[in-house]
Amino acid sequence: MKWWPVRGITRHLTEKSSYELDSSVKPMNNIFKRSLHIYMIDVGNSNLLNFELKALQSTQYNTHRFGIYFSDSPRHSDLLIVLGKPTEKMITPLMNTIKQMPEPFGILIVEEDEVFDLKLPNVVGRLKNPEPSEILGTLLKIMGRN
Amino acid sequence: MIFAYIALLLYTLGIVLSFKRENSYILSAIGSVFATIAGIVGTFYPFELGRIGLLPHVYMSMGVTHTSGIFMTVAAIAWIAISIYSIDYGKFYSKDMGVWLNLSILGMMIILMAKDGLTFITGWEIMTASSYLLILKHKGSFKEAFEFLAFGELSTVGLIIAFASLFLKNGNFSFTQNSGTVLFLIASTFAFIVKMGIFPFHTWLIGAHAKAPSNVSALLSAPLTLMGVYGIFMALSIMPDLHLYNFEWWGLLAVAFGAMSAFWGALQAVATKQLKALPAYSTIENNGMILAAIGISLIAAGDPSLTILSEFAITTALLLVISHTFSKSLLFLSVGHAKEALDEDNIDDLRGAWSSVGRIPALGILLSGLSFSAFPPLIGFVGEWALLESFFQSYKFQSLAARLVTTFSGIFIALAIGMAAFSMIKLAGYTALGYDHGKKAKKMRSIFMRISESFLMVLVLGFGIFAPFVVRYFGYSQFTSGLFGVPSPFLMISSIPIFGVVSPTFFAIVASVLFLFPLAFYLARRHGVRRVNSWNGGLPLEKNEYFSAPAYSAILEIVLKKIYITREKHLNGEAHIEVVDIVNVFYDALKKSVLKVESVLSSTLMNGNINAYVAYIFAIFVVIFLIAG
Repeated sequence: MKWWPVRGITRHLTEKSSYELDSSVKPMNNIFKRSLHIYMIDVGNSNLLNFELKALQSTQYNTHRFGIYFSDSPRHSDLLIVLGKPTEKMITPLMNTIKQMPEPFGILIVEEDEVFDLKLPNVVGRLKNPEPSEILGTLLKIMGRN
Repeated sequence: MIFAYIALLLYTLGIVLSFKRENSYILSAIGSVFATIAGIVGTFYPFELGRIGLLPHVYMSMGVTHTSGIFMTVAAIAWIAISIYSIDYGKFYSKDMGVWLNLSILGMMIILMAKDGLTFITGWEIMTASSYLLILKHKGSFKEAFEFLAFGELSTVGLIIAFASLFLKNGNFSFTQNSGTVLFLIASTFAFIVKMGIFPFHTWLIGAHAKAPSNVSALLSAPLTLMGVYGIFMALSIMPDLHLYNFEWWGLLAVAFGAMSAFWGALQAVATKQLKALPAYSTIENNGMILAAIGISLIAAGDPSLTILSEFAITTALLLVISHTFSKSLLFLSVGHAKEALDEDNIDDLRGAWSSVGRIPALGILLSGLSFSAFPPLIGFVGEWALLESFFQSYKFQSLAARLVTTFSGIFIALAIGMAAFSMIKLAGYTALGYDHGKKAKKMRSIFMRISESFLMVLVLGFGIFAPFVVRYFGYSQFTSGLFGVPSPFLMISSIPIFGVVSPTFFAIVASVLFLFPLAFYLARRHGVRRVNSWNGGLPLEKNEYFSAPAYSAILEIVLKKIYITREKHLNGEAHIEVVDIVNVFYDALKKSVLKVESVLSSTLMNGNINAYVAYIFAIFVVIFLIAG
């Protein structure tokens, strides 16, 4: 038997043991305390962030218990999560998507190493290379639950 | 009387002074104003314009009676609108268009004032020939124009037979009481229903209306087919003994043909994809309804106890005439305006006329479409209400044949009214109210077009709201009353004792008061509304991703596959659904066989061989010599 599975079980290798929430993240609106619907748009990342977001819906993180759901249309969503730095062709679809969001809405920017400088409206927070638990914590803070 | 002379003079001046385009159109507009006045005067005080003797017992005479006064008023109002519209629209065509427009209107005026067969047929030929030349003004419309002329001459042949029978019986051509014969009625009715575009003689109408310039389309569709309706009124007015059961067969045939025509027109209007073919089919539908109303009146006229129903059916026909003339002129003028500005031919390509072409033409399409969909309180609603009321009262008929025919025709009429709404939603919904294509409209002077469209819009709305006064103008004041708190004469009733009532005036008042609440709500909340495009994954919608006009009507085309002969065709990798007007198949076969006979004759008899030709002439000479000898 090799030793490294034991190490993997005993230690959190894929996850930071602790993280600090960015102080710039503010609760969005009181009305989202119990439920938040999210539309996610991938505007150009290395697929890494997609995996992190996908993990949120797995049994390990189970965001549904907090009332956080992913929807299929920006017209049904409260929060838009923008993944990565927009490529040239994705800028128009991103802007079109923002136009479709119903008021009140927020935008959470999740970046990789490259930071982008587009002036988007209603930005409620920025995350850089986050872990799933960090994203979950941010979402809860946006909802005003902690 | 003087007004009619002035009108005739101004039309003639319009023909003479056509070296400048505006002259002839302005003169015909002013002339039509005088014609309107002459019509109104003639409705109340019938007058004579004198007569010209040609031979002993053969003379030409003109005058305006009560009926022709009503028709002249209606037609002249449409002429005003078309003439004003042409001041701008005529610039796209050559100068002689003004000549033919004036000549065509002059011909119609002569028809309306004719007191005898010769004058009538003169006006008829002037109208047909100049309308043919008007259709030819549009490039590439030779085939359609020729078809129009062929059917026009077919109706002239019918008229010649009719007037010949009139001459045989009376020794002159004049239209006097009790002068008609059965042959006269049959032949003239045939002539007039060909002109009205009744099924199965409607095919000329589609091509001619779709291809002609838009002002000509309006002229052909509204006033020209109106001449057919007037002809039927005229022919019936000189028939003897309508109060015996003599002409029930005519009424039954009229109801059956009218209902079939209305149904067929509405059915084909639903399926058509061409911009101006849809109003053309709607013309067939409306003329069918008018013919059915006249038929009901004639069936009822046979029974002395049903005089009131007969009179109500005549009122119905007149209301439908007004509705069709005004709304159809408005529809063709507005559609033509949008079509010219965007340079498109299909319903689907004209989307967004509201924002690209302008509010007034778009509102014109919408309002006339609503009128044809029987939307209260517009004039179309009043006409179609009256028509259904006439059909509901057919249970009063004595004979079984009349009951059966009117019942089944009533079903077709009701279906036609429903499908007319379906097709008008397609037209107005896709052109005036549809998503914007973002296509830029051509810049052109359109002030007179807008004036003419607004004028007709006011009429469609005004005649609808004040329909009881229109009924009084027809001279049937017994069908207006006051009841249920509605002051007299704002309530229209369909029979005495009362059968059905409607008050468009009070409907308009109540509806507009009730409309104030949603309007106030809308105005208060308007600023919070954000307008965005449909969500398509962040991408802009492609042209073929919209719900198109053919898709809208495809459901009916597929369900009624047997009637439409629906076929799927593949072209350039795209599939289309195509439908066929089955009557066209017959005419195409006829055309082919005539061409074949012609080619055979030309190769055998007239092949350019001088010997054969001389032999032919000689043979004909011998035959004539033998017959004459």
